[in-house]
Amino acid sequence: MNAQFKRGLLETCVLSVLSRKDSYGYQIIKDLSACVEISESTLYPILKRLESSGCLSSYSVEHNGRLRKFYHISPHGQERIEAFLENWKEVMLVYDFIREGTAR
Amino acid sequence: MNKESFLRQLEKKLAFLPQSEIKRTLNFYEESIDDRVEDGMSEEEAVASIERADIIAERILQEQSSLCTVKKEKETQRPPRKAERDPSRWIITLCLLILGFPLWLPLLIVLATVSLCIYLLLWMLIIALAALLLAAALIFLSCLVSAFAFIPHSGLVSLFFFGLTMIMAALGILSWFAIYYGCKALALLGKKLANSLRHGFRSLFRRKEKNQHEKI
Repeated sequence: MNAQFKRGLLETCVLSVLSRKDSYGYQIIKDLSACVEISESTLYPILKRLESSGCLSSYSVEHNGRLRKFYHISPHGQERIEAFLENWKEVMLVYDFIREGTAR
Repeated sequence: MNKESFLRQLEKKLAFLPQSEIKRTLNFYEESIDDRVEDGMSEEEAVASIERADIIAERILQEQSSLCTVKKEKETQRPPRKAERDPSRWIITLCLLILGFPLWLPLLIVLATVSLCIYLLLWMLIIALAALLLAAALIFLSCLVSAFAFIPHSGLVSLFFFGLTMIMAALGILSWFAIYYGCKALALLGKKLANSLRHGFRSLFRRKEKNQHEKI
């Protein structure tokens, strides 16, 4: 898969996890493992990028005597998800068209 | 490897980042290891399940450089400046300027002279108005004197002179206002003309300087 394309997909996946409820690094990886394997070294830059582009915010909560960083999706992040779904509607139409061509 | 030595190793590999960023990254990985331990792994297992420190550092470096290349791409995508877009256009313009020299120079001189004449003519109008004002003032004074002088001789003549003083006064006031506003407007016009000339010259020279820089 094209690296740029994959990055966009993963970003939206992370946003989707956060749109269900606020979450933290390890939990995001576990939640995502249902559909895609992702490592910390991949997740970390994604979270950083999403935060700097205003798609999510973060806050720390004390947990078992240490701090756990939670991420919270912003309205801008929600818009990103909606835009993604909207774009993919068109992509799926193209996909169906191409598949019909090969089926013949 | 335990958590401490892993984090120390990672810190060394991240030395190219600013201090605050190193701290954030270390916090992130420390949290991940702690979460794994809480999930039932041993510390060694948790560290082993996370990628090696040099791979993590490489990923961050890649991310930074990819951001830089994205920026660079954006910069190069920007439309090139006019001069860069077509250098031959400049040469053609220059040739035309040189070849058209016998035509445009006299035209330019005539245009400059005519506009200067019009400007001076407007000032002459002001001077004429000033002369009118002076004449009106003089007639006003003499008529006033005559009016008083004729009071004992002829009331009618005296009244005539009074009428003349009034007319002269009105004419004087009118010309005064005309001079005042005329001067103001002309001064403003002169300033604007001078300014636009200066700006024109300056932009011409700037453009030349820029071109020279680009050539260098």
